[in-house]
Amino acid sequence: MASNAQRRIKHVSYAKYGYFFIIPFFLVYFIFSFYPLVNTMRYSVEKNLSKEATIYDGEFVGLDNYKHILTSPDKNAEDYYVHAGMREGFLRALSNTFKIWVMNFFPQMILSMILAVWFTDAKLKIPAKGFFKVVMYMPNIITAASVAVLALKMFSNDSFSIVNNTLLNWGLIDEPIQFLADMKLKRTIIAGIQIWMWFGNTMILLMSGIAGINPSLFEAANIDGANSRQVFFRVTVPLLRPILLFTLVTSLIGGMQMFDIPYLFNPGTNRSPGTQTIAAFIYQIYMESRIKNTGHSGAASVVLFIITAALGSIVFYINRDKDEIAAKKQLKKLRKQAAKKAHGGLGL
Amino acid sequence: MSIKKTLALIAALTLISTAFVGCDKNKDSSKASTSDSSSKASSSDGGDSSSSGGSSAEIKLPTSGKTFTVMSWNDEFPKMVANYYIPDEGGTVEIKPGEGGDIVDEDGNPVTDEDGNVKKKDLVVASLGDVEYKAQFFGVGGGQASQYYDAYFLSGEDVDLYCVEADFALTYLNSSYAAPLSDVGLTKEDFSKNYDYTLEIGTAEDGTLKGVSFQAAPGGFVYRSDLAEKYLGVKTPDEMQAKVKDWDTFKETAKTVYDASSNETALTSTLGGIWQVFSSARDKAWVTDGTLNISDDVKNFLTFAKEMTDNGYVTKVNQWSDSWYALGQTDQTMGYFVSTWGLKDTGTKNGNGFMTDAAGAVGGATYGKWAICEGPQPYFWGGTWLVVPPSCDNADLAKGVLEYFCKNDESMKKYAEKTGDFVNNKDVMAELVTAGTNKNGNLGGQDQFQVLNKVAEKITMNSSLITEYDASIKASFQTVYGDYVENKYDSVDAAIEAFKKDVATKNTDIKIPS
Repeated sequence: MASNAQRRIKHVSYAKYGYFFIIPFFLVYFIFSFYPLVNTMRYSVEKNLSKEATIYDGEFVGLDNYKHILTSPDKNAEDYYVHAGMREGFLRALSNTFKIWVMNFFPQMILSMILAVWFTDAKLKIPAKGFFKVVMYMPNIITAASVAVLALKMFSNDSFSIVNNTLLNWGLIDEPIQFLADMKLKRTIIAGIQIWMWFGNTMILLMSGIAGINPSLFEAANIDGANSRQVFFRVTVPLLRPILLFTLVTSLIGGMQMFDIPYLFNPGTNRSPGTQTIAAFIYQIYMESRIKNTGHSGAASVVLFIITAALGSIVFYINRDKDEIAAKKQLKKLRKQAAKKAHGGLGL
Repeated sequence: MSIKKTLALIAALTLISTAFVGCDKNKDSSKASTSDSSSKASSSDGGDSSSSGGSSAEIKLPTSGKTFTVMSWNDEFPKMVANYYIPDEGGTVEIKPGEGGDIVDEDGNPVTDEDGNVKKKDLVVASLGDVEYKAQFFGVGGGQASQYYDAYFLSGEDVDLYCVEADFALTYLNSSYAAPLSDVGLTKEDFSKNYDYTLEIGTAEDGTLKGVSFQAAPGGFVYRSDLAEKYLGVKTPDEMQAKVKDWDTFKETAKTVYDASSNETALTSTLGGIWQVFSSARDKAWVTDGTLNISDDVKNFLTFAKEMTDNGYVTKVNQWSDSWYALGQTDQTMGYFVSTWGLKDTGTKNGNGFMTDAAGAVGGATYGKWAICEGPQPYFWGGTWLVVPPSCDNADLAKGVLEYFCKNDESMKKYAEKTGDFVNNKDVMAELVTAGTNKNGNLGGQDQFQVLNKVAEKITMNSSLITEYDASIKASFQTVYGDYVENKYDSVDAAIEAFKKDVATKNTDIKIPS
């Protein structure tokens, strides 16, 4: 016969304490993430804030703000310039973002991959690995603002920048290179800065991925006489796929929201639209407008959210494990056949 | 076990409470700002009734504040108050260089100088009787001031007097953050010696005077006298003036200089400076009756700017960039368009204007090699207006400062003589010009007042040229003309179209005609 105390202990549930522990997270999440998200959607269907930024008198305008961003403008309409300005601005920003992201992502992956493989290869015996890892990760620690200032000191249109000054002194060029005026060059520099800032981070990620692969597989490959190229393409890459997918998705999301370097890598306040990313576009139509442009920037944010979500889903869909799906299908088929057989058996 | 439970509870509560700390603060500040705005409303009501009741020179705002706060985007005016007004009133002042904390940008990141050191603000410690003086400045350019101001006003902290620049003056003069000057016992009659255009700009939409300026900002063309003699053979500012008397002559002279210097020297430094001159001569404001105007001056400027850039008659340096300053110490440019605030030269390390910095400071590479002439068109550039917010609680001191810098002949003359600033007082300036005692070290001893006073008399300042949209539209236009001279648009019309679209996205409340 169990005592009272024993019976009570049986009914003590510790599960509820778990909820206490996660309450703070959800509170913070709802206040600082979920509410702003919903609020942005609300702003996107309302008229812009009035002149006195402290007074909110949002007037419902339906999908007008989205129309301005997504549809082509009518030359004779009264709102032609707002419409055309928003649409051109958004499309230009979207294409800039993509161009910079592509120029940044692929070289960065190749570089990080090579370094990650070298650093994890037991046969190579690279000295001072730790030192190199730290040095390569270092650019990621510097704030974007400082990096942008540094880059501006190196590249500018006039002959006072480090690169132009050096090249002029060496007599390699006659005229200062227009780093900031030539948009292709400027985008390339921005992509270069992004690579420099992020390849260390990606390298560490990939290294941890490679370290997670069972070493006996590499040994087996070596014993079977595979050369390093074969090991790389047949063992490392296939087993690294989850990490590669993770890197791709995070980089894509980060890339779509790229803001700091493209925004700061401008001389003074003269921010030419050639390197304006979507995030910068949203920020600029909000901050640089005299009345706070909540409607359009809200709508642009929501569109950016949808684009990012869609791209993320596509990447996941393409990279889904086809073998596993095929195996599942096969299993289903077999079960059906088995069931049929059973029924058939009864019928007979 | 119960200890563990308690600990868990405490931990959870701590986490939750940290989440609410932020909310509490917000609540406090919003409370403060609401009470603030209600007090503002009541005091501005009082102001209205007073202005209808005539010009009674009594102080209506409280004078009981323990802290007298003067706010500006940079340290110029707050330090002027500390260096001139407070000592003359018998107060104590101590300025500690670099002890006022870091200078931060819009995102709150510290700003660094060329050597990577974080830029520091100076700390001003001053008091006047039992009132403490607080110099509230942000260490940024005038163009960024409003972001800092709005946040500061919303925080509800003490401010008794603040500065606004021509580009955004009207935004504040017509807002609830400006009280009529009659509330501190000053009327238009008190400022009868001010240059007319400064008073016109300081008058709000409701017709009351809400801002006065301590300086008038007529501008001239500052040029390197040694290069001018070498390439153009001119020896005096009058001869130089003949070479830049209008834009066509200006262009011819630019060609002469460019050719004579074997394509090294551009006559002027930036398009921004040229636009400043053009924009003062516009016949219509950017926005009238809620509609954007593109006057012929705008189109003419685009054509002129392209021609100047294509031929190398102007450098590709951006205004306000570090290179803009560096340029002055090379032979790559021969001249700058600069107005009065840029010509301050104290002959010492501190308190100098732009031109002395561009010459490499006192004793620098090109210090003393400059001279000034009137330039192609009379223009004014910038200027600082002083505004009293309705939350002012040291009205007597605010009045004192305004009188010291904007009304009293004696103190204004003293300030002008000491700094070479162009004070906003016709009598004082006339006296100084006649006396001819002012000698600007950077201009090789030339008296810039002789030239600038002529310009000031010629400025037919149409105050309606200034609108509250200017800061935003000017920024859009800078981007567009910058892109146009870089061949990003095929024609002037294409550039104008792009300009209209950019203005539309940033000012959704104005009409843009096709």
